Amino acid sequence: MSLYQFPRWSDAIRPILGVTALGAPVYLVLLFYYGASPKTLAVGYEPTQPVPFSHAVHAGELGMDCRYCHNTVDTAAHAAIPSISTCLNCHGDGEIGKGRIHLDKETLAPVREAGAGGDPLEWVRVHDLADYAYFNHSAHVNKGVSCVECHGRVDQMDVVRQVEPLSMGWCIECHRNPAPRLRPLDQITNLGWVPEDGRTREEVGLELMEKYNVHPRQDCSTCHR
Amino acid sequence: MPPLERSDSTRKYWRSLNELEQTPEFQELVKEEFPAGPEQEWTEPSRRRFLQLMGASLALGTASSCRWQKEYITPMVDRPEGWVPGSPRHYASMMQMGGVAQPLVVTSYDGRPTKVEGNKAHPSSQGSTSIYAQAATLEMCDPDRSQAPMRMVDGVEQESSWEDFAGFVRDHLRGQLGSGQGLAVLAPSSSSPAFAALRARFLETYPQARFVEWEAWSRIEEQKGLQGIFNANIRPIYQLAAADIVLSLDEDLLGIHPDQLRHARDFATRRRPEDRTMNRLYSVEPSFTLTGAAADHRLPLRGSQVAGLLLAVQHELAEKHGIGQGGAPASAPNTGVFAEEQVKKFVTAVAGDLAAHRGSSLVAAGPTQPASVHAAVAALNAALGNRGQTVEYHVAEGAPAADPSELVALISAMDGGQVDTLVCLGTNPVYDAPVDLDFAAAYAKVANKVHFGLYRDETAVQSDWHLNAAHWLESWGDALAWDGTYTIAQPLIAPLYNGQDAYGFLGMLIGRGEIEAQSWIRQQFGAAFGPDELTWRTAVQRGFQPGTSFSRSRETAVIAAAPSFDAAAAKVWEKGDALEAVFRVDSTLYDGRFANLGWLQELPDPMTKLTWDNAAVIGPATAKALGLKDFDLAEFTVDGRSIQMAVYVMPGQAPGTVGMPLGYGRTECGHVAGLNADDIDPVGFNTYALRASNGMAFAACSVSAKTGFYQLVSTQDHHAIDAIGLAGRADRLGDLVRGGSLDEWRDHPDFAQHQVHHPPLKSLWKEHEYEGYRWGMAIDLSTCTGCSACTIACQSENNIPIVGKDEVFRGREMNWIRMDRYFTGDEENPEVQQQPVGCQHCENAPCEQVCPVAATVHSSEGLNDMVYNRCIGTRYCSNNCPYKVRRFNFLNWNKDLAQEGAEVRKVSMNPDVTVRVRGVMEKCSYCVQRIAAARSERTNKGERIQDGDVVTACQQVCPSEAIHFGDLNDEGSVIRKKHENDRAYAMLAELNNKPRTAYLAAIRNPHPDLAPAHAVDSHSDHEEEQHG
Repeated sequence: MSLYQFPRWSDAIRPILGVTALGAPVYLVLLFYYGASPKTLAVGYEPTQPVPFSHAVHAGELGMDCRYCHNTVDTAAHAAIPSISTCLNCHGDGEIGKGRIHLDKETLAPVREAGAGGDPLEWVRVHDLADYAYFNHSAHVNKGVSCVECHGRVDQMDVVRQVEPLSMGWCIECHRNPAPRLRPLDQITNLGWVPEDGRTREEVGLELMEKYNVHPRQDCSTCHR
Repeated sequence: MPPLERSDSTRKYWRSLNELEQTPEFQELVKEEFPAGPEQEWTEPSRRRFLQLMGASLALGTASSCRWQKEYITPMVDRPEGWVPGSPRHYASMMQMGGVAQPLVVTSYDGRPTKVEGNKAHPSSQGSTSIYAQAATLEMCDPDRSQAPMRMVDGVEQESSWEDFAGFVRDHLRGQLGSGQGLAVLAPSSSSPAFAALRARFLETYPQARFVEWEAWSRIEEQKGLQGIFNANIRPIYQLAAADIVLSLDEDLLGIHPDQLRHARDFATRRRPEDRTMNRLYSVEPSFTLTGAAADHRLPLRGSQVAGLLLAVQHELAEKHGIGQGGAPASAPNTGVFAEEQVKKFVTAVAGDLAAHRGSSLVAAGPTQPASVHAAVAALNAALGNRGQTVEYHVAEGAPAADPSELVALISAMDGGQVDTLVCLGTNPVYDAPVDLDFAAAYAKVANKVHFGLYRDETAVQSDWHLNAAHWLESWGDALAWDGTYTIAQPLIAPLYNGQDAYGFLGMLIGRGEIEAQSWIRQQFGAAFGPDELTWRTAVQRGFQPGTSFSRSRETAVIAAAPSFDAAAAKVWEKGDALEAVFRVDSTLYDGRFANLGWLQELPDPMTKLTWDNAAVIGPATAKALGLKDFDLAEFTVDGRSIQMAVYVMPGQAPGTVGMPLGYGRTECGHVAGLNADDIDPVGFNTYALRASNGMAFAACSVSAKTGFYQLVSTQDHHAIDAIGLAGRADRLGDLVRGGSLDEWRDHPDFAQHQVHHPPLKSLWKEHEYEGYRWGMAIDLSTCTGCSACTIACQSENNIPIVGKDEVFRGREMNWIRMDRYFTGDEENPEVQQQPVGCQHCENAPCEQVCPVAATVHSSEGLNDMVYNRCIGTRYCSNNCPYKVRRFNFLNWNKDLAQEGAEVRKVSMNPDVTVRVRGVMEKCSYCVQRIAAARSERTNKGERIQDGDVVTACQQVCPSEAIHFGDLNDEGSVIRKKHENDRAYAMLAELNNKPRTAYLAAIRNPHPDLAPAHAVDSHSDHEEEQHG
């Protein structure tokens, strides 16, 4: 008969059984809620790129405008990744480029090869929205939403990484209350901009909402088609 | 609550004979939204298998859930200036069909052509296209396309190469044949000047060679008839906008005529009663065409009797009105059908109208009619003073119609062993040559059989060589539009399978150095229009060279003539007489060349509403006499040759005729249309097997008794709207589609709004306010011809899948725009009304209120948004939609996109529209992606969207400008005017849905002596009620 009985030591488990039964669902819910959240999964994504291009050097130290390379950002949905010929404007040695900067740098070899008729570079997409979400860069940068609001201080990153969750909830937050995330259009690519006259971003933003006619839409079809 | 009140006098509309007779089958259909098909076979996975699958998917799920697929961005090495990644670019191009250029503008995303539109600036298109052009992107990306040169070696097909073929040309053609003795080319009709120059070069190289043109559907009789009168190759150019009275003698002006787009646009200008005086269209034809459906009066007549009707009209005009007396017939046929009261009245009315509108009337004869009819029609138009007013005769230099007698001569030469090498340059004669000539047998006697084409078709599999052609989207080209305008095609993409274009291929055959289409065309262009680069570049950019249309014929001596007509043909058909088979290219597949395009296979025929099949179409009375009914399989025999074919009973089919659409029954085409090699049965019945060279349009035909059953699938009873039970149905249809005569409209311009009266409507909910844009659509039923181009344009724009015959049978078709076809009146000769129905974007949308997950919600601009990602597939919304416009993805129609080898199908998908998966609902979005594009462009400049900025795909393609779209809050907008038009009504307004799509009632202009009496209810007795 004793074969079919729980051993005596199992009595010790009984007090914590209740706690486990109650705690497990809570734990699991929290695990999935926080574990599967874009804040956990997406933020901090920092893939290695084929060329170790440093935004910190180009946009930060050298102070190049974002639009020098991403030149379709204010006219089109896509902010174009620059073609090799753009790189060669400074790093080329031939007809296209007159810059002749770092001509023999090892890490720039793929760029030179591509420019000389080789395969184009395959950059890894860092900020990757779902395919059913249609984001339009120009609609944002023309209304005073700076690059930094979604992409962070790219001008301080050697390797670009994702700093915002880019989840739908996060998008909607700003569409509901855009004021603190707006800045004057002439400061749009100045990632470190702060209001000069001591006013808060909120105050400046409310003024700009009026000025730029900012009425973010929250319809489903704004982003999903 | 007081009941709805309808005027009893409204017309009774019906959609099918089943519905008219309320058969049990129809009642079954109404009960079930998605009718049950044969039981689906479910292979239930065992419990063990289930756990295995669960385990596997859990493991996969955890492994892949951290981040979705890694994506790469590959920017161009050197991006051309102005090239914006991910933004559409538009290039003018052209598609040649039957030797006539269709001017187009193709949308391309990052080098991938995704959408075809008409060329707005070109007089032949004015922005609209046919369904065939719309489906071109699908054709280009068809995985069944031939992908490599093939060669038959000892009866086994082997992959070959272009170099091998070049070797064959060098050794055999140039080497052995020398002067071209025994060499023949069989090409489709072409009006390309550059190709003609190349052909001349070919014949110069091989002076003994033959070069024959062949089209299964040719306008040779028209050309012959007019040649006799004008002593030149003449093309009649119709000006329908100037015609008050049009008599169409079996001519499908608005359907398969090469100039149908311009015709439809011009015709529409005279069908909006508030704009201009209305025209009146008479149509005489055996099978229903779009022209017959649009006609004010249609006379169903056997094809062989049309000449008799013309005689009767000529006689009446000469006797009563003194017109064309010189060449008028001494007597008119007055026996048989011509003794019938309705025919006599028709002739009197037509003659009276023609006489009263001299100089502003038009008579047109179709390509099915013999040359003598065309000559007589030209003489009649001259006598009526129409020449120069409604019809111009242009000298079609360099654009002759293909003459079947040339094929006859070629085949007898082949039979006689005089042809050593035959090159089928883009033709498929084994499939579509007249059956009595037995092309296949003659072909077998040819030593070297070469086939060049898009598909490995019936001819290719019997050839020694098969060379893969480039699609027109992949190649340069030039051709003349119907009016002669020089039109240019430029490639949108490099050939996907290294195919060759027709120019390059003919250049190869010539073997005197490579011909590169672009430079060859450029060279010929330079010779004709001047060598400077700017002229050429402007022409390429524009897509055509303006001012190059044909010139008018100066021939003035038009001899009056009467058509030949054998009085015996006038006999009224009785049981026991031979039937008349009517051969006509299919309205969706044309002559069969588009058979492998699923969009066109699944598109319901505009008249029969059959999908995925053709059928022997027989009128109700004839069918009854023969003892045949829908879906009966019977044996049809023409001249000793028989085929089994399914019967479809169609109101309005002329008594004693059987409509036999061509283009089906392909055995070697692809996985859609039929492929012997893969055991895929042909779709439909090959009616070419009955079409002989002496009966290309009509032939005496006999039919057996029922031999079996064949399930045809028609969409006409699908989505049957059941409003208040079956009892109210018949009345109800008249509320959905509304129409009246010109007189009714004159008396009460807003008669359509008074058709249904209902108590004042109150909403249960607080209604939305729309301060910004308020999008709306208007569809003018008066100009809609039912051509269904909108359905295909929508399919192309919105990545809509096809589902196949079985699934259509279950009611699962996915087209967002359904073309409803209603009949009214006599079932032997009904009037037809077409009505496109998509989502109505109701302001009080019933679908939104029942969705448990808020997957369909209202936007601030009044769009009824569909959120695919939220949808869990309850289908409550579809149940609650009174218009039945929601489409559910019962299966994963796009599953094969992920499979290997299907990569190419992704190329033509619109990247701006989500591709849907299984289990989600979808429906018309009012082309929300186009609204977004217009918004982005305008707001970036700080402007509002202007009227005309947003053009939906269906609106853009519509040849008759029946569809309008825009902002209803914009007081000056076209859409606002359309909604305020007296003819505008909302479908099912009494439900208080407030649909955003308004329909404009169809107005017809019947002859007072022929018109059925339509009374109009009075306005007086219902002041307190509202109108819908």
